[in-house]
Amino acid sequence: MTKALVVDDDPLSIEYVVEMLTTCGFMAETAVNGEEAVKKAQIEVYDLIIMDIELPGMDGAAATRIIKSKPGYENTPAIALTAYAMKGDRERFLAEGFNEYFSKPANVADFLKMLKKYRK
Amino acid sequence: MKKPKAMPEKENHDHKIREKAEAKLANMPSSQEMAGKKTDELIHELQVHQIELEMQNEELKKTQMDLEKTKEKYIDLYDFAPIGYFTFSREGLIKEVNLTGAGLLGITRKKLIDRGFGNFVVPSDFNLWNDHLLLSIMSKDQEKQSCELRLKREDGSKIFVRLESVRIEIMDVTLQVRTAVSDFTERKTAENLRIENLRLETADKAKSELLANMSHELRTPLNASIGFSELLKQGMAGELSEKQRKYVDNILTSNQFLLTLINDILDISKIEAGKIELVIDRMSVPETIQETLSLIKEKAMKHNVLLKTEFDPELEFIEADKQRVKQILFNLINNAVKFSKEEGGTVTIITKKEGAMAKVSVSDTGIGIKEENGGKLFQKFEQLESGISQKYGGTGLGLAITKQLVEQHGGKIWAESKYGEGTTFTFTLPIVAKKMGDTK
Repeated sequence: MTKALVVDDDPLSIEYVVEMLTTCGFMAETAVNGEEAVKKAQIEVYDLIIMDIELPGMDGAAATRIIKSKPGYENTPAIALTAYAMKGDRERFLAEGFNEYFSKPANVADFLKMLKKYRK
Repeated sequence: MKKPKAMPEKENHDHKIREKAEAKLANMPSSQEMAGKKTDELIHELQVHQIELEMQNEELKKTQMDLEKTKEKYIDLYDFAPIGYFTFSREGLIKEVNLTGAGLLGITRKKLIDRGFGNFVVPSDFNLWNDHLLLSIMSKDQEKQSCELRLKREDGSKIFVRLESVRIEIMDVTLQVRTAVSDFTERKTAENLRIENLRLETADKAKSELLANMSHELRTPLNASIGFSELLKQGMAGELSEKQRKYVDNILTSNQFLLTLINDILDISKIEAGKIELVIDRMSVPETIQETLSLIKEKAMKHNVLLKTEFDPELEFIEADKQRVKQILFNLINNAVKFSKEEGGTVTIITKKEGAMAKVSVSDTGIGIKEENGGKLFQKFEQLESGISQKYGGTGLGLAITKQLVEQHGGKIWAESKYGEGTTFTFTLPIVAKKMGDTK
């Protein structure tokens, strides 16, 4: 089963993403901030990371950078799912190492399509 | 006794002196009583004195005249100095004032003498004046005191002045206070305007930032709200009854409206914060209009609105941000369709080349705008009548955004309307884009 880590400080957003992940046949685990995400990624290896950007403490981009530098994570896709929806934000986050970018509220159909692409 | 040198008789003053001198001479012991030699000596002595006196007199008169001239000169300098000079009594009564000073108060000098200066100080500044006078009287070593206050002129207008005062002392007793009064109303007004502008700019920037943050914060709950509604709609929580499906659709419609609102707010705050950069390129006006129309065609059909175009063959390419021009056109045409009458109507898009500008107008045969509402058109969050949002939708930001986008291109936008008959929105865009930085 494909294992995904969902990082977001908004519980409803987490629940919603987890719902979609499980519908698509993922196994989902969650973290509510960057530090927790880094810790979880140390214990277990995930196949997909869905990351909010604005988080208390370490932000999503920094957490992703740390996770991606760990052995076994070189090719793990990281998806930004963020309320940063200004022009230029997509380019910014792709340049920071995210594989894909979705602005909140994400288009459900597109998001599901993306999940199916990364399902093993 | 020799006749003295002819004296100028015309001057009374001199004449009197002469009479006095004659009288004195008459009282002196007569020359016959004197011995011969002694008399001669005495007469000689007298004559020398006489001449000496005359010479001194001439000198004095000359000095007197010089003094008069100098005095006149100094009175001129005093009266027409660029600042007002006042001399006050210890009680603050005006004892002396130059013409400039009287001019500052807009009143003749005669009427000012012995009036309290406090009468001309704006009441709320009266204490400033009182303290200033007191400080001037009490200050150590006749130190110069200064203060700024407002004066009320005779005609009621107010001026900002700066007072600089020193006390005049004679034998260690304060007699009067001498004050220079300079008008800095113009400078003060300019300064106030500058401060006010700065304050407004800062407030505006803060507001734009707040809006940007707010729309960011609103996205997070909306993400879950739209997401879960979509999941419901797609049957991920089980098959929905027809009523449930309808309710979910209602939720999604409202959410979509909220999202539009957030995007509009973000847009306007970005424009206001100067964060929108136009991507200027050569673009075809008719092509852009056709592309925009294809987005609205369906809606127009639903409203029974006919879309017509009249393109000026002279006007093809302009230098502008195509996406933003599309946004401008979409807002205007969408409004025209939205506010059509219930039985339908026509929306006509006309282009025209006017000198260095491209002119585009969007006319409808819709409900029109009441004259008293014309001024609200391009303002943020202004919908012309309450309830319009429920009936016609829209966030009330569309036209404000449109206006900003047109102006950022260096163009203008305006509207003409007849209530009940229809409205025409017209905007212009420069055919050749202005260089960066010129647009502001």
